[in-house]
Amino acid sequence: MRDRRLVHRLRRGDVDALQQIYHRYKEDLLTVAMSLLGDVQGAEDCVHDVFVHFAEAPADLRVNRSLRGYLVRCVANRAKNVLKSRHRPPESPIDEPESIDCPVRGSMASEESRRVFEALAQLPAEQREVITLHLQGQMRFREIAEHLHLSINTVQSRYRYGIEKLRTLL
Amino acid sequence: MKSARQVKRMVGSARLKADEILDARILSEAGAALARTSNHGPQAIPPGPSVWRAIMESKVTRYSVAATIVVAAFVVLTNPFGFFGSSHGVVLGEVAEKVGQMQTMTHQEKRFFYEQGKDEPFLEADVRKYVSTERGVVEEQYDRQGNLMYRAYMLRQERRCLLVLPPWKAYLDLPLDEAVIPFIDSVTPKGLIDYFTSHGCTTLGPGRFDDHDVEGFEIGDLSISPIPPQYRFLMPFESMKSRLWVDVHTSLPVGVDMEITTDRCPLMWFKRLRVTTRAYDIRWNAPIPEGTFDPNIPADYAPLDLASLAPKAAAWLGVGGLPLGLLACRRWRRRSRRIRRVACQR
Repeated sequence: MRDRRLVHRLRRGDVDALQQIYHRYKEDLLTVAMSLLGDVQGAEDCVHDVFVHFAEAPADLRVNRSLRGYLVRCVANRAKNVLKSRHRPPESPIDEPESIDCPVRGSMASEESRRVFEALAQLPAEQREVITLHLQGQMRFREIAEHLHLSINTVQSRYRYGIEKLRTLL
Repeated sequence: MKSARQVKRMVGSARLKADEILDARILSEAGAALARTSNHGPQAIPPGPSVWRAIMESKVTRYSVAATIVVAAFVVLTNPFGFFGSSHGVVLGEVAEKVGQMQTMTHQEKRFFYEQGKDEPFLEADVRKYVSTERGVVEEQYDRQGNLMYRAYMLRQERRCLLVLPPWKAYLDLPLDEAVIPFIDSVTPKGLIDYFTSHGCTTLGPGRFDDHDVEGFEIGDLSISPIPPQYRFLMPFESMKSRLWVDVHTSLPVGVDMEITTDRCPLMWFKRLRVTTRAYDIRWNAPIPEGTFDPNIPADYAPLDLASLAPKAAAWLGVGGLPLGLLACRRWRRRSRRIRRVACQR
């Protein structure tokens, strides 16, 4: 209910609503992005892009169920595109600025979280996606199946295999 | 081997926490996007990493951009056209009169940027400044290797403040609204005289500056910060002290020393800064090279979107609110941690 009100205010261009939404979900989204992409910078860029697009077209927002689920799905889609583009050779080299004396990374994770992210990075992408969306994105198997256009049995088996593998990795 | 339940708990509780820089970056760009959309309808987002991201990438670029922002203050404050109080007898009266007759001025400047509490500056810069009563002010800042870090234009006629950043192929074009125009006007000698006349300064007595016999004057009133309120969040001043040195024979300013401390701000990774400057080699009515006041922005330079933070609609973005909010949040987190620790000890 509160989310719907925020979305309604956002559609009217209320920047305070955008700020509230960001602060409410930023960590969940960063965590999902990190689990899917396996690097902090990529995760930050992913969440950044999702929020900027989110703010670009508030009138087109279709939040039928929960705003959180909607944003998690946006992050998952964006992460998938990023992963796809990583497999393609870059069309032109991007001039990355030289990183000098930058010991402090932007976002932070505890030691245990870091181990989890490392372990997730070793899973096949399909298993990692299902586990991340279910355990971190708090999506139900049925929702994941709809989102990925798969049968619920496929989703559940990917999840089971993934968890088994994580038991050996963690 | 861990049980499936333990694994699920571990994965479910893994967290990547956003820091303040990421917050500032996302909120500023998303806020600007929302403001744009509200005003002009949806617009396409250019692909690729943003300039903001490139700037935030390293300490060096971040500090340099912040240093650029503070230019707006230095352009006015270290300008020897200013500094005149009406209550300082013959010397300042004469200075005000003489300076009022000058059309142009050039000078050089040394700047040192420190993180508060540290002895070594993280940035040393040389500055060349050109001032014209008619056109405004242009200043160029070079690093120790002589590379141009930025060129700042404060154009009075065009009523425009432009910062061109060759190292990042970017520029910042500040749209100056009515509230900011007095700021530009204050860059002229008359404006500066008016500006400082309304604030008393302390006489420091006779001394030497370079090879000149001088009389010193000091001003340390923070309320005279020349940065318009909507841009102050970029470089919030904590304290400011300026000293003007006037040649006793010519009654013209020959040097300005200044020390400024700033509060935390997003561009500085919420660090406090100390900045010292020394303006010297001041030449009055000196010829200014042709084309100095004509901005030349190469086509491949990207605009920085900081200007979009200025409008009222984006006031929440950090124009005061965000840094304070983050600091409050930090303190709250620290306090709750302390309370938890005490509770555990009991």
